[in-house]
Amino acid sequence: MSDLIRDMFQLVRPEDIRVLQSDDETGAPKQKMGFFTDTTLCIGCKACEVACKQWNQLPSDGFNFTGHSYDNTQHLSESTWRHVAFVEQVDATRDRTGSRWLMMSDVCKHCEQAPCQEACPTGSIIYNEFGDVYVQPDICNGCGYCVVACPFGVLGRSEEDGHVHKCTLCYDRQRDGMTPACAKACPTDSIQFGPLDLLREKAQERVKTLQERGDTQAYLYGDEAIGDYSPLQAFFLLTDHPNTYNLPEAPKRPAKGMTARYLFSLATGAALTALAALFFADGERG
Amino acid sequence: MNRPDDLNAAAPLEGGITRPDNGREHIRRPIDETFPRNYYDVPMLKPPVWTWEIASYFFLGGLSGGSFALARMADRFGGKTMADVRRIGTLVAFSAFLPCPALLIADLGDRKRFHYMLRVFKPKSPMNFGAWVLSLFGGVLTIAVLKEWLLGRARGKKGRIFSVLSFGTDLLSDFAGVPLGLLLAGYTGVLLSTTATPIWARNRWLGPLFSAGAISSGAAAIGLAEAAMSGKRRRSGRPLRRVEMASRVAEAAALGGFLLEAGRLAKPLTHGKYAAHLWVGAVGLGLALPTLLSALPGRFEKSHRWLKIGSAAASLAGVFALRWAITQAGTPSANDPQAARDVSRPAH
Amino acid sequence: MGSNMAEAHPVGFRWPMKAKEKGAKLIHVDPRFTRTSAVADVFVGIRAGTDIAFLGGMINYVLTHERWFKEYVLAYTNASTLIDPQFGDTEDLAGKFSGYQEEEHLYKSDEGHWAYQHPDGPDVETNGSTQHKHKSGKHGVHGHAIEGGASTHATKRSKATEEPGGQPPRDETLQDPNCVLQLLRKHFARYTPEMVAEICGCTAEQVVEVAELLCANSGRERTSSICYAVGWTQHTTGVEIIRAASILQLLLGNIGRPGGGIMALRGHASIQGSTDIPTLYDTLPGYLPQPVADENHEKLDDYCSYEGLPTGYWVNFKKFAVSLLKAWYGNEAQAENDYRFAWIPRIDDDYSQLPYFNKMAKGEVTGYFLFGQNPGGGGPNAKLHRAGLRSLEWLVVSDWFETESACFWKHDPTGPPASEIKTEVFFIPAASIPCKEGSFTNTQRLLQWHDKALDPAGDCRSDAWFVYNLGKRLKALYKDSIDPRDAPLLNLTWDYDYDESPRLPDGTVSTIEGEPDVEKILKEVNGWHIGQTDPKTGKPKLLGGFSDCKDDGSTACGCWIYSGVFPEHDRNRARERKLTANRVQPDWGFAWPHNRRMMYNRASADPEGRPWSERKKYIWWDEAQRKWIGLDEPDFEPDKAPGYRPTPESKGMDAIGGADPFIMKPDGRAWLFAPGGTKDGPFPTHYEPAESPISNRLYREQVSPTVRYFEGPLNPIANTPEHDYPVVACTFRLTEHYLSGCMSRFNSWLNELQPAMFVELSHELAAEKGIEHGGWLVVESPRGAIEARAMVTGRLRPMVIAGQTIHQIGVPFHWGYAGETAGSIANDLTSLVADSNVSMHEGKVFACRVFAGRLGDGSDRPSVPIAPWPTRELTPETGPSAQPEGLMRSA
Repeated sequence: MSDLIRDMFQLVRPEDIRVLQSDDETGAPKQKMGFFTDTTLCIGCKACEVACKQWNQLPSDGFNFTGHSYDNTQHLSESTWRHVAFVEQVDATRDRTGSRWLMMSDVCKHCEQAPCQEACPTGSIIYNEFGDVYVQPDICNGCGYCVVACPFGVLGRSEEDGHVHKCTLCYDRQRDGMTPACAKACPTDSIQFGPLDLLREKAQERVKTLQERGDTQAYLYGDEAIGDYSPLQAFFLLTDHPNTYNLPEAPKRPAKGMTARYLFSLATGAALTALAALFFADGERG
Repeated sequence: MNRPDDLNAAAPLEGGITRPDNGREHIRRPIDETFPRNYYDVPMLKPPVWTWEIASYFFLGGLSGGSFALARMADRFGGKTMADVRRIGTLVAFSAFLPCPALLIADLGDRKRFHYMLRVFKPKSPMNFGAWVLSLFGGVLTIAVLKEWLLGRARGKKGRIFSVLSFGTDLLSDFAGVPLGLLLAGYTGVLLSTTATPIWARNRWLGPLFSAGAISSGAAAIGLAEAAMSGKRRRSGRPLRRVEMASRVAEAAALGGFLLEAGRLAKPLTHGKYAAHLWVGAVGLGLALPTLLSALPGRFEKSHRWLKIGSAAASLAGVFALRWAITQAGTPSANDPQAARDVSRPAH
Repeated sequence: MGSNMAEAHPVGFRWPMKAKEKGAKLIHVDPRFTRTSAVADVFVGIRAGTDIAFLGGMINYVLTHERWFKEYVLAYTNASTLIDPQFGDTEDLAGKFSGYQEEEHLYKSDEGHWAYQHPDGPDVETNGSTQHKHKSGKHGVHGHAIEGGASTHATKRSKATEEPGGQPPRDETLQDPNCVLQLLRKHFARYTPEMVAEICGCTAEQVVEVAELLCANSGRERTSSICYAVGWTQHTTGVEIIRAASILQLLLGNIGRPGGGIMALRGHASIQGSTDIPTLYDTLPGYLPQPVADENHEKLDDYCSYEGLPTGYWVNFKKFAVSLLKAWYGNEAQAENDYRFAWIPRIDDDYSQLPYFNKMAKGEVTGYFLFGQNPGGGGPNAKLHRAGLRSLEWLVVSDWFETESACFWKHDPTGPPASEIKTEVFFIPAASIPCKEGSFTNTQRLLQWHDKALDPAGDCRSDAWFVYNLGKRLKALYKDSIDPRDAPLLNLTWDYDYDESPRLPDGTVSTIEGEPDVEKILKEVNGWHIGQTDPKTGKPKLLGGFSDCKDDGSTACGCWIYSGVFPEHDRNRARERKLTANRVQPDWGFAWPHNRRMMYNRASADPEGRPWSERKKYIWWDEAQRKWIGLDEPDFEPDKAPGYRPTPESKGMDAIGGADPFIMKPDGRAWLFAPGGTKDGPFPTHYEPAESPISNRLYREQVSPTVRYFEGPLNPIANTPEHDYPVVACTFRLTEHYLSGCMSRFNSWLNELQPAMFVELSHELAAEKGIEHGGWLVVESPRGAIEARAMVTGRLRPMVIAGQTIHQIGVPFHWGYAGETAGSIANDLTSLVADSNVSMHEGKVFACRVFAGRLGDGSDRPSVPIAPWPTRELTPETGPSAQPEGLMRSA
């Protein structure tokens, strides 16, 4: 009963970061686990996309020949939780040596301060004990608010069951001490899984190595805050502008300034109500 | 490597992309500028999954909250002239409120889980906040309506208990119901603005716009109800029309603010499929026409009740059209990759 | 080169990517810019079918600039060997070698004098032909000839010889114009960077860049590796392309050395195993040749002396042959009855796929079994293949799904209606990979066992079950026959029943009746000592390796090269997965032969037995222990000292010196000049593909003169050089689908990744033909026409070849009419044309023309509905994987 009440009245603190619970006796908090996706190692094989589909038994998105290079699934959705993007930068009029074919395995960013989690009205979306953003499928009622809250367009609502689904960072596999399906399937270790701080270290070294090697366009996206948007727990090494990969250059946290907006809204209503009171009183007198 | 300090100290890499630096980004173009930074025009964001129920709810909820606030002000400050307004306003508020929960539930992906909305109290989420506001307001409104009904039935025998209850109810209505009603009116605008959809994202004018619209639609609805009930001229007419006018001014200002702040992100609304809804419906019918009609000298007071009804209906239609257009325009906005790119520029 | 490794072998490609991170340079040479090119350091685009020109350019560069690894080449190749001066090169004979027989379209190497000089001098007639086996030439027997059947030492050993050790005459100064190196120089003299650029459509700078990189990365301290796949093999000059790579790698000293070599990236369906065991008609297990129906193969001893060699490792030929016969016929095979050698079927014709289907299409075949093969979609000139299937009386198809070959009678939009087809088709559902156990053999000759995880569903059965039970039933059917023709079947050893009911990993008993114990089969393949019992188990003592094979009937061995995989009854080495500090990982699986991970690894040490460098040490001679030691099993006699030199009388392995790494060759040397073993010449030569719009810039001979054609109305070939079909097409694969789509186009998760048949073409060609990106186009070859979606991309570009603009297109071959997604069959365009060595087709390059529009022939109508979304049923419990989680993650 107290659980029910606690669940019913789950007061969420302003920072909205749950203390990572641990289930061993030491009480030490669990580590935050995440993804580092290094696009310079991606060979566009889509093993990640298929491994994820298979592990999570997701339906296909339909068969559409898009002509968008080798990308026929186009974006993340409720039924595609890993999606490989392809950008051909091959100009036939130029020397082939300058050609690139960018390949990138996109995934839910598991933002450290996730707008979807902030938006979720039922408390379905939580940060689990690994620090990852998780949609509890037995609570989601399909209101669809997280869908529009996400600045990356990750979440989608399923027409089959009416609930929202997205990458769980293989929460079930993690709980059994296993690697997420996509990371396990990736043949070139483009997708790396592990403790977030370790991944960030590795990523920074990797960028340094690449830059020294002459790949001056390599940089990290999301390992640190982007403007006032929180760091991403699934972050990337990219070699071109984020928009090229259909990522926002500087994503915005929707809830920023919300309180002020509430106040402005309330003030408007209150002012008009007060004015009404005035007019009514005046009317009474006049 | 690449810490903000280093970034400022070292020369930016030639032609490369340096990392954003807490607001002072130096994102440079890649070496090759001939390749477009556009992923095949595939949308970056997802469109809202909401359909007609939501726009309708925005309208009815606002109307309910607005009319209730006016009903309470009429009760407190309006004296005998506005006595009817209290009663009619409360009933209008209640009628408008009744479909709201059903509309919201119908729009859910999993309707049987509607009550999960109240599973937690999470004011950080406008939708959760709104669910509580709606529920609590509904409760207060029901009590207020019950009181009206009882008041209507029990003539004469109004004992002490009744007056205590009545006093308590009015207190509840004024200090809980009105704020809740106003919140109900405006929170939906805040809800839309707390998203990533370019036309709405972080726009501070949506809440005020909806709040103002709630008051104006509330006043129009009360006026319409009064006119429909009997054509006779009422003393409450003019104050209500003044309230309407004031709130239309506020609406217009908020709409202007909204369009200015959204800039070219508002294109799906101003130029696209919903341009007619906006200009003809919201602005024309909702703002211009009633204003014009109310500018008719004096005679308006004596004019045919159908004119009053028409004017109120136009006003209501306009408010509804605005909510419809703004809500529906979210879809083309989210589906426009250029808008998504623009709304996520560093300086935006 | 000749491979799109990142797309076709993505898991194996993990290793080149790791190497790249450690500083290796990846070079990709290909007609298309692919996902492999995207991660390569250097990409060179070449015209399809010009690989020999390019490799020849590399060889030319290496020789011209003297960048070859001199000590290696001198000691370990036949560079210094003198060739019969009557040999005529393509430089002398306008594109042909000497010995060409105009009428038969083949070479007779004895008449061509493709031979080492006689030890008694250049004027002595070399006796015995290097190609004597193929005198009849009617059929292109293949397979064995490559490895060791041919004999260069058919030259009678003269007792009086000037050279020590009975070796052929050599010029160690490499100046004699008849020495192999000089002949090589001469042969490739005109393959300059400029000429190569002209033929291939790249630039001379690119040719030099690649050559320089290879040279700089070869030698004592560094080695370079070449990987290829069907981009090289599927040509009428396929074998010669690989020969060219061998020559290049030998000149650079990259064979038998760590980080070097030539890797044939084999297919995932254990194609390596299917050539080892094999499923080829003309080889017996372990690359022993299938006997031919002639007097040379009548008796076992004739066969052994004809096919074996007096020197080199093939001297043991008879041991392997007898052990094989004992494995197959058990006690029936005895010395008195020639070990029942007469029971082995003899080849009387060419039964390889291409000529066979040609016969089938003419109605000459009655029935056919297809196991996991789809000639209806995957066969070159698939229309001809389907015509063949239609003319059968009966066809058995065992597969996971009703493939093009299984449902041709009802779904082929290009074929006649079902009412006109008389073939009776039996579809046998096959078990999928986790539902059966067995071994895979990969590129590296590595056998890895995989266990069965669960029983197959319903009536699905493994191929082993099918063949085993078919054999049992046939034996039962013929059990009372006294016809001598049936004796081989009745006496075939065929006892592979489980001793105890087999259990699944979760402990439950398998419910499949009649499944053979595949480990028993592997044990037979490994072999055992007849009459010797292993005291621990009471079962026959298993062989420790092929060196245990005997020719007196006391051993049985099902495949000598695999022997050693099962040395004890409880030790299946193919199942072992032990990782050690030795980076060669000798305890992971079992590599044939004898767990030698790298063949010819004697070459990793210099003639004195010392590693060429500390960095590249692999095996070396330990004087104290008097044996070869190191990271791997020596592919050499373990105790043969480097200084050992044979005498003229030496036979067998004794004829191989201590500094002769290439023990399968009779002279112990690697062959830059191949006096035997190839039917189209001792040196690789650039010829144009069978269909090409370009004339051969190097020789008068347009196409390789030994290419086999199959005349017939279903197989017209374009004239060459061709102008009616001016576009060069090459077929290719995508990661997302597999082969002709039999397994992948019935899976929604794969279909959504690549849902439609498309063709890749350049912007220029698209503009010329008015083809819109994403729209439809038609490709037409002399064999037929297909439609496809257009993928207009900058990754293909036109090339200027000898002043002519040549367009190339890429055609993926994954689609057909069977599946959730359907599309035109790429192989309806390819032709039936074969190289002379291995009867390989030329699917990788052919001529066509392209135009906008559709055929509208219904080829995109799927044969099955989209499978319903997988349910949320719990998957059956299976035991934890033997491979611990995260094992491969550690770099």
